[in-house]
Amino acid sequence: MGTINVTVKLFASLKKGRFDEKSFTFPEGTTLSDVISSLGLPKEEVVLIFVNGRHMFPESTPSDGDTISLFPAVGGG
Amino acid sequence: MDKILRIDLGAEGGPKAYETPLGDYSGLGGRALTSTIVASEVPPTCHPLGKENKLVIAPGLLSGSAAAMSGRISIGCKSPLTGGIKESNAGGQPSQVLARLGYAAIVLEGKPKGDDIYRVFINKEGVKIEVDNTLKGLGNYGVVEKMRAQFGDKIACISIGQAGEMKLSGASIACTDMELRPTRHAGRGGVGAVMGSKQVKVIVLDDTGMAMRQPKDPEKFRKANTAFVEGLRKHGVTGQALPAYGTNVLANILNEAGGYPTYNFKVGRFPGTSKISGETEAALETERGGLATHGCHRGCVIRCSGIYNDKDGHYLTKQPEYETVWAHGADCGIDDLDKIAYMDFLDDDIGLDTIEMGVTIGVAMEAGLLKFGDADGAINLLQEIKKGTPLGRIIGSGAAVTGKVFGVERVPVVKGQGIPAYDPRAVKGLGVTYATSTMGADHTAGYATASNILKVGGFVDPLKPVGQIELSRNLQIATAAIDSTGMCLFIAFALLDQPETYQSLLDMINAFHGISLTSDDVVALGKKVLKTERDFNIRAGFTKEMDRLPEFFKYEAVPPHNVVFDVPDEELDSVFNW
Ligand code: SF4
Repeated sequence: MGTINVTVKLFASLKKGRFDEKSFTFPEGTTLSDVISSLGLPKEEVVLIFVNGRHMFPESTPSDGDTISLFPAVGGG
Repeated sequence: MDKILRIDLGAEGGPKAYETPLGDYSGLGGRALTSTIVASEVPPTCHPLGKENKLVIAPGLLSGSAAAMSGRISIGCKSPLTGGIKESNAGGQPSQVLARLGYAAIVLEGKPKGDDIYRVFINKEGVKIEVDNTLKGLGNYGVVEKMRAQFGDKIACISIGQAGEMKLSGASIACTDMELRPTRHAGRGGVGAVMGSKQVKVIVLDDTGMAMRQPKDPEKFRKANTAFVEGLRKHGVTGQALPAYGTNVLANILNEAGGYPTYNFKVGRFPGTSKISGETEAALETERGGLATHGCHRGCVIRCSGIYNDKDGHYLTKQPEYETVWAHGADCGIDDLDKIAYMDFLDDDIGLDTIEMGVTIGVAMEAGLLKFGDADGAINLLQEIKKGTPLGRIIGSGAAVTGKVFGVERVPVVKGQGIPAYDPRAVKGLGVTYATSTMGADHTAGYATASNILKVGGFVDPLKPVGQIELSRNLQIATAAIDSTGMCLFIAFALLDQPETYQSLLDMINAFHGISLTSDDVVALGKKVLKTERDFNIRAGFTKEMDRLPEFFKYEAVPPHNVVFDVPDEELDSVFNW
């Protein structure tokens, strides 16, 4: 089975004690939910998942070269 | 709060104050009250700066009580910027103080003869209106300092800076915060120009000796307030994100989502975002001994604001909001947070709408007057406004005027008002709100970002036209109702997700007033307010052709998603068919 390279970006409270932006290699077929668990992020804290700037659900599978951006609950206006 | 204070600036022998009972307006507060008074007393075709226009300043239904979050104030009139009805909303102390002084509203009417400017002082003894020409030409900070020296620091002020005195359409009205600084502005729609046309420089409020407003059913009220506060504390947005990072936490997310308008709405991502994001701003504030969590008025439990110090640790301004940082930042290609904060200070002092000014400078950059990214040039333009030079007056009149003067096609305005910090092509629900709101382009009027981007109150794909009309319609109705309570709109994040928190708000209003509002009544109130405002605008000459975005949004695709605004016109015309 092949692998994919993705960039993960963390924001707001999620990046505390972790990182801003980092590249990872995962096996093909890895779900976003798997990515989140592998980073040790509590699932309930990750409210918004963007892949290349589009909203995605945890079940979807990223492709090689994707940028995954993760946010906690945020608001403003 | 059963009376209205009216000040007739044009009375024979000089300005006169008189009181009228609430009468037909009873039961209304905030935006419902300002819009109803304007719609029934101001001729829709009048000149916004003429004697027929009125400036209505109203606290909310729960202002002046122990209810959390209840200190927002509504300021209404016919807008010199849009030519339609306006309700501009601000935080700060005046709402609570005015409510405790017993007034449901202050109405400035008529027009003075001569060119004196006035100071109005209101305390438990009554109202004093005096000529004070020493205030002429002062900025808001200078005005408030003089008032503090004269009346002490237990006051709250509502004032205008130089822009209001010059009656520029970008002029705001300042409200003082808990530290007695003029940092909370009714920014949008040129309300400051209307106050300037009445030649009132400052209204000073002192509630010494006045009691907090008491609920009809204290026990039920106390319980409801506790449940309400708990609900706000447990929601991720109102309990954590807003207090920790402030509204500017949105910079990164809108940037990631490709809806962060950059270089006058050319692209949807700004390379300098990380330098001006909420995370960076909060860290810098803490490091310099400012504050990253702070309320704009007593009784706020979300506390989305903060204090921004300069690099030497001295107070520079309050925490610039997301829209301000965007307008003076990304929209103008500027990534220097200190310079953006300085522009926030200048806007507050001169009395200008930060959104309108950022959008206007972006248009001036598009025209080639200065280059994108030129922070010093942008600061200079604000200084020109302060000096009242012809160029300054053009910029201070907003994006539509500036675009016309410099021959720019790409001018992001609706009904003459600058489009704020969310690209309508990539956040289409908000595009519907911009196009159709009674206020002109106003993100707060129906904050579709919540469901389009933040997944609060459900999810509607921001990049597709489906579902946006309904989303915007429902939010516009809910917002009109919340704005009428005098509550900070940010409670909506918790209300949309937690029905029990919404119920506790209703319980609180009911216990306070001894009434029995249901959620259906709230929807009906929101609809009534919108209908009243729409009707005023139609009588002022607005047509459905004005409920449109500038046409470049229809044919110019915005990267990174390369989308245009494609919600059909006929659908826009259905927003108010309920
Ligand atoms: S949440 Fe923010 S805007 Fe709302 S009342 Fe509190 S400090 Fe003011």
